Amino acid sequence: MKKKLFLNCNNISYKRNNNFILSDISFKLHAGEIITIIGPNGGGKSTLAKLIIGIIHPSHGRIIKKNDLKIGYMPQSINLNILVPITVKKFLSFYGNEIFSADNIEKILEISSVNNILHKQIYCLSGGELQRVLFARVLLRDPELMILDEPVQGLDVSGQKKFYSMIDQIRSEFKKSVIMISHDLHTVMSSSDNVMCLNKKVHCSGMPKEIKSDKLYQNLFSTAGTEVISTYTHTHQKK
Amino acid sequence: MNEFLIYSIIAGVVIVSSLCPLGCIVLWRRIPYFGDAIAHSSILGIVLGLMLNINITIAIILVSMVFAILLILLHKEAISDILIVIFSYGFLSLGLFMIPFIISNTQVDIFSYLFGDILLVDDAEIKLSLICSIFVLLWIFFRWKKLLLISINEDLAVVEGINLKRINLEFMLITAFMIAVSIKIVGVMLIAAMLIIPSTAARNLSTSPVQMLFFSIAIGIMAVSVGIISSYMIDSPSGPSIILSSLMLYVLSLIFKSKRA
Repeated sequence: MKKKLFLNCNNISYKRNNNFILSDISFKLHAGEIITIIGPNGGGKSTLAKLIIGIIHPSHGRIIKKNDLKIGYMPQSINLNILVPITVKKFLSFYGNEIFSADNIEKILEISSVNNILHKQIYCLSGGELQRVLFARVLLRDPELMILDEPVQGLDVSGQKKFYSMIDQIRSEFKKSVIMISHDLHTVMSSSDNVMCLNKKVHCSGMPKEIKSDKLYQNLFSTAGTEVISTYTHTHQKK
Repeated sequence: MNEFLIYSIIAGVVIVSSLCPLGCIVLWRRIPYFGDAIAHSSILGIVLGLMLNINITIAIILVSMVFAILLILLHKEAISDILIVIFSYGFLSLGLFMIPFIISNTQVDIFSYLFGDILLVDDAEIKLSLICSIFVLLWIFFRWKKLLLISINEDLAVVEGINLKRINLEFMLITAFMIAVSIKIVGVMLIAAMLIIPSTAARNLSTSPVQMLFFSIAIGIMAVSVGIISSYMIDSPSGPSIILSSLMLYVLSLIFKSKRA
């Protein structure tokens, strides 16, 4: 069955102060797909996310979205203002409650492991806790497309594994589309349907395994011929 | 108690009931200079009011509104501290530059506008303050979640469908309006302190945004009452007396916070 087209970016470019931050970016995203965008810092990954969300608009080209596409966005980092005294529970309650059934709320809190920190003030959270809270907030909005900007930034290896496993679980249980952005060139989820290497323009794209052996990728991002990309695979242990 | 004193306290209470919640939002939006800037720009309003012989409160409101609109129009992405400072001193200097041209044909005591004088507040202005305060509180009520989310993270707010520019414009116009209305009581030089000190003290006592709002109003009301009574008793200017009272309450809140920790 043909999957529904959620997003079609057609030759988009973005200029700031007469400098191209992004040029000629084209790709499509269908329902249920995961796209991972990797690239160095300053390569325009977050700018692309903001263009898709609509915070900024392309200088050239068009972004066509499915009508009323509901997007959930997890920003790269949120600069927490300690002057706003707000608990995790309150922060999560702005939207989600109206959309999800009580069962789903419980499930999302459980999947994202935030049920034990609901009464903490958000400015007291550790980096990992904050990532989980932001992720739970995205899920509670019940979006069709989740844009996760550097979701594993600041997490240790085990934290990253947990996070990727969470994404896999979400994909299989809630059938969401995901655009995941990472500056970490070495770890990409194996379940990604498409990996895009972005450094102001798309240098190469394809399945994770294809990208691994892509000469363009190796030329662009490798250091001294070592294996430049490894994929995270989520496996379930058999009882 | 003296009837006049009660009348003055009512005027002060009406104003801080909306000024302090706005102060909380100013703190959350991290634009503490905004209050000062509007107050500085109001000097130009006072001078223009005197020159053109129009009601000074209305002149202050108009100039403050122009100031807020200019800030929004000239800065596309967010409210910038640098622009606030540039415009603030631009408006202030223009006002001060024009003072010598009006000084010979006016009997108005500019000192009372600088440091506040509750004696200047008349019945019509109290009614105006009451209407403005109710309007501001209603605006905060209807915009509450949006204001809170924008304060936490603007990008999150935009992706969740909040029109950032519109909320920013509304917020700046309303704050400018309320500051302009309050200037006669607290004065140009100290109005920003009244906006910031009670809300910062409230932050020390609060664990939720709603709590912070109510504590800021309570602290504002206490500061106004103590300030006006002491101002009446020792014949000091009302503005500094109110601010000193709120400063004492701020120190008490710090002590409370350190004991709780």
